[in-house]
Amino acid sequence: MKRRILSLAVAERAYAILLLLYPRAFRRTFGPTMTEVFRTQWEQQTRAHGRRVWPSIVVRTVLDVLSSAPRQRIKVMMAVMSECLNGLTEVSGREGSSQRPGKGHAGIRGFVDSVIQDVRFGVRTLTKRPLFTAVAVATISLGIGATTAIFSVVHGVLLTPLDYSEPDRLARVGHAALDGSFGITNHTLANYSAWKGHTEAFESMAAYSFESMTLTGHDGDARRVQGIRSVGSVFDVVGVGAYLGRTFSEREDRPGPEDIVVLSYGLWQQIFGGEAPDSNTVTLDGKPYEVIGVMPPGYQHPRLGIQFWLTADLGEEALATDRNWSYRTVARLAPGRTVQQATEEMEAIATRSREAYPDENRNVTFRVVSLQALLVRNVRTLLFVLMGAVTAVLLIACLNVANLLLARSVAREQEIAVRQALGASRARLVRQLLTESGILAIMGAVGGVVIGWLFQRAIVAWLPGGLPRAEQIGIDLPVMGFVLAVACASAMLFGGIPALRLSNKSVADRMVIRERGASSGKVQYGVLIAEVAVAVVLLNGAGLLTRSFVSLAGVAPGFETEQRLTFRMGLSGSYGPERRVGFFRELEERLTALPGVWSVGLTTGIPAAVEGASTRFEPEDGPLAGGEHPGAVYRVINPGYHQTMGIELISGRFLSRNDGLGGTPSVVINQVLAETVWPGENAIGKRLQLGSWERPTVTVVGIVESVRMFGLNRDPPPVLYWVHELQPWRPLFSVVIHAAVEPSSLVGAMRQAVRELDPHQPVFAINTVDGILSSSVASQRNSMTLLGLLSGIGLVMALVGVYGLLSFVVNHRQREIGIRMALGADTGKVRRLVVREGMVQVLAGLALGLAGAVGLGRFIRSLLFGISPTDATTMIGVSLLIVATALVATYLPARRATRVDPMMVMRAE
Amino acid sequence: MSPKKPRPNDLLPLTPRMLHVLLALTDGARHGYAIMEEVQACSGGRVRVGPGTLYEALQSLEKKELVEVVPNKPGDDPRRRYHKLTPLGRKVLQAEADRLTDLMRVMKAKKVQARPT
Repeated sequence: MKRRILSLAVAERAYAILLLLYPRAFRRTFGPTMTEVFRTQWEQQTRAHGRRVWPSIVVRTVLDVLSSAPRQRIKVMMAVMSECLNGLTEVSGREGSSQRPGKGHAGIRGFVDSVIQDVRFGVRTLTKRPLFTAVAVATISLGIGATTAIFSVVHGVLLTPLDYSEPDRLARVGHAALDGSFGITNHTLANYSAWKGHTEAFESMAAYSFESMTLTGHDGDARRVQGIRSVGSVFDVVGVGAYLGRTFSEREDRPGPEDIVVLSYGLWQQIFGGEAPDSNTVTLDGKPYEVIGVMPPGYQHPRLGIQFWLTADLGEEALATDRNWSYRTVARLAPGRTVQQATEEMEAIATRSREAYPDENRNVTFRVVSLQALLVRNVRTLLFVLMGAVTAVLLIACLNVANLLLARSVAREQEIAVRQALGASRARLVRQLLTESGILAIMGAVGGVVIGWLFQRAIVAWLPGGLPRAEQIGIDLPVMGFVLAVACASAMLFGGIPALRLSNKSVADRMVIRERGASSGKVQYGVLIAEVAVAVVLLNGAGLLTRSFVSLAGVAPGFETEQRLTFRMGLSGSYGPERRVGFFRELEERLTALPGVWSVGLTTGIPAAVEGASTRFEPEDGPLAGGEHPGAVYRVINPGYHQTMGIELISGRFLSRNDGLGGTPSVVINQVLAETVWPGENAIGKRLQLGSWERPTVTVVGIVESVRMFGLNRDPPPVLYWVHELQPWRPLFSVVIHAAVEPSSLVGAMRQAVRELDPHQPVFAINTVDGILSSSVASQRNSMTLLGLLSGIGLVMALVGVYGLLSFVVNHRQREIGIRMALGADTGKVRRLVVREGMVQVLAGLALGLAGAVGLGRFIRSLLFGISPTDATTMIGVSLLIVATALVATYLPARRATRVDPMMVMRAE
Repeated sequence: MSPKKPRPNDLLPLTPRMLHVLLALTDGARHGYAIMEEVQACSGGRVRVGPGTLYEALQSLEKKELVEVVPNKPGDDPRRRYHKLTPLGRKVLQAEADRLTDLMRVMKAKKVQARPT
């Protein structure tokens, strides 16, 4: 029996909560009787059918409420709207009758007049409370600004089509692993000639490789310029013509040596100052090239900084036999063909080539990827996460302003009551309030554009390597349109909440408001909970990125980074292969002789900075188990390289100068390679046959520590090292100097040493190894900083919201608090009361936010390193942070509440 | 007090729910739960109203002046509200009955027969 009564009490309470779904007026009229009916029903049915009937009652009641409450809500809204419309026609009717019969005209005039009146009144009210207005506008500006900035980046990078003709038909074609272990990679010219002309899915196709050359003879100083060597015409594929002169024509599409070059607009300006280049030549790597054309100013190769285009210096034979894995292919899909169809066609070719060359192509397939998707694949998730984050900040901002307005509208109850009593319709009042929030939104939007512009510049500067197509980013028309839409939406949100609340009340309600105290806080508390929840989601995201960055930064790179200076240097064509080894040997000696230098290393690629080349290989004592055909990165180095970089020797010995000359060449391998090929065995003395270049057999003489070659977030790949003497034709090296002094102080001396050796050879990419490592994680660091900043803004806004609301509640309840204290309540108790009032909402928001964070975790997964998206530590940290800061935000108003002198309050009433 | 008295026919046809609520009140004033029971009984369980839909219907019937609230007698449970038909309500119900009878006549003429139950 007791149980039944108990459960009825619970059910009644639950029903009371359900009743909140009805509009206030309906609830007030029918609420008590409905509860009574519900109770009778409950009692009767349980009496008749026993206790187990309760689930069916619950289901029926919930359905009942859900079917009628929304209808009532809509009715109320429709009533308000029709009143709005009536108000409009009333005004127009009045104006029309007194002035002229042209009703439509007068209607618009009347409407405009009343809007002007509203705006004037709104401006007056807002200027009367400058602090309130400033806080509201600043909050909205910040929200809109952050959203604008990120949207302009998303718009420029992800949404704007590439600046080529019909960019959606452009695709990259390349190698990919059958098992998915690597995506689209470079290929050889032999591949290209197998594709070109053997597919129907493509209209045109061109292969290209990146070239870095030395430009001399113009303003005296030699410098390094980046360009493209094109087989076939990349210009025909992308569909862009020359700005001046011409691009490569059909004639030059045929392989054969052509000493012609097309320049970028920028390089042309720098060299010729904008003069017509007709009979001009430029000298690249010591060889003259005829300039046949200049590309338009805005034309960019997707990889930035490309300044010239050459045709490939290759004959038919080279095309068929070339083993240089440095080419990429861009292709234009035939009209009506999709990437999917092209992929199928390429896979058929891949199957044939696997059958023809089973050894080489065992794990290889060919893949087609849309060019735009390929360009932005690395930043896509990041940008979407950031977009979500700024939307959250904007939401918090709007909710905050909504609460400010709500608080103020309660303070304005009497003003509104008086206006209503004097005959203002509810609709007219709602319109007035919406006009006020509209003015706030416009001011916020103006501030937002300014903040957005500043913020956007910061983002572009902060996300260097990580952001392709950065030149597309700007605050243009679509972005402005977006700002406008966002401003309108936020005005609806933060203005709509208080305005709707207004529509629920009668004059009488308003007149007695002061007697009833702060009963109107329910909406505000709801808003507060939402605000805290959103802030928690944001903070959790920022916390995850931070923890992930910390674990990334804690990864040992496998080499020393401190006190090491590095630069790159490439010899131009005038140095034949026979002179290159000598040049670099001499350079090494001169640099080692500088005061403050311990040792000098040479490598074809600094880890985490230069990707470098890779080769296939096969152990001489038989293929690997499972018939795998592994690939390894290789680096051409000098014997001092490993010591200079602080890469430890694990067994065997380092390379020496003579390792390339006579007999079997020697290589040093890294630990990963040793463990992959000879697990549990001693690799020293084993022999490998390399798969590319002249297919030499090499002997392993040493094993060194594995290095994170492709950045801290990628596992170390297998690596082979051999000396320059073995491949003397290599012209381009990164030089590392291990210094006893501050490395950047050596730059001058280093330049001097190079100049003494040969003044025509430029050095470039000067950096410290520390700097390289730090910029390799710059994108992670910057996204962490950005999200941290956004969530910080979100947290502060939410806390200001907590503080503001509680201050308001305390002000409103001064009388009650005064009475309590006069009756002997001690300060601690009153403070606890106020703090509890706030903390309940904060905790509800926290719970909601954590649930949301778990739900949204998968979106951020790909940005994380070494932790799960539902990392418990992060969640606990966020919870502690929220609780601790919210305690402060609630304690301040609580303390103020108890500072009130009871007598003052009582007298004031 | 409204300037124009609505004619019963203007308010037709009634929704099934409204019709049943009006029907439930033909025998005199009833309170909410009694109306719910009566509706369920009269419709053979086919029409069910919960408190929400019931008072929604009553509200709109009240607005159309088809039902009115009976002031509580001393001794009644103050939480209960009793509703009864207004004269207009009775007329509307009568008009609906006429309309339905007409409809039945037409249906019979067209040989649309109710299935035997």
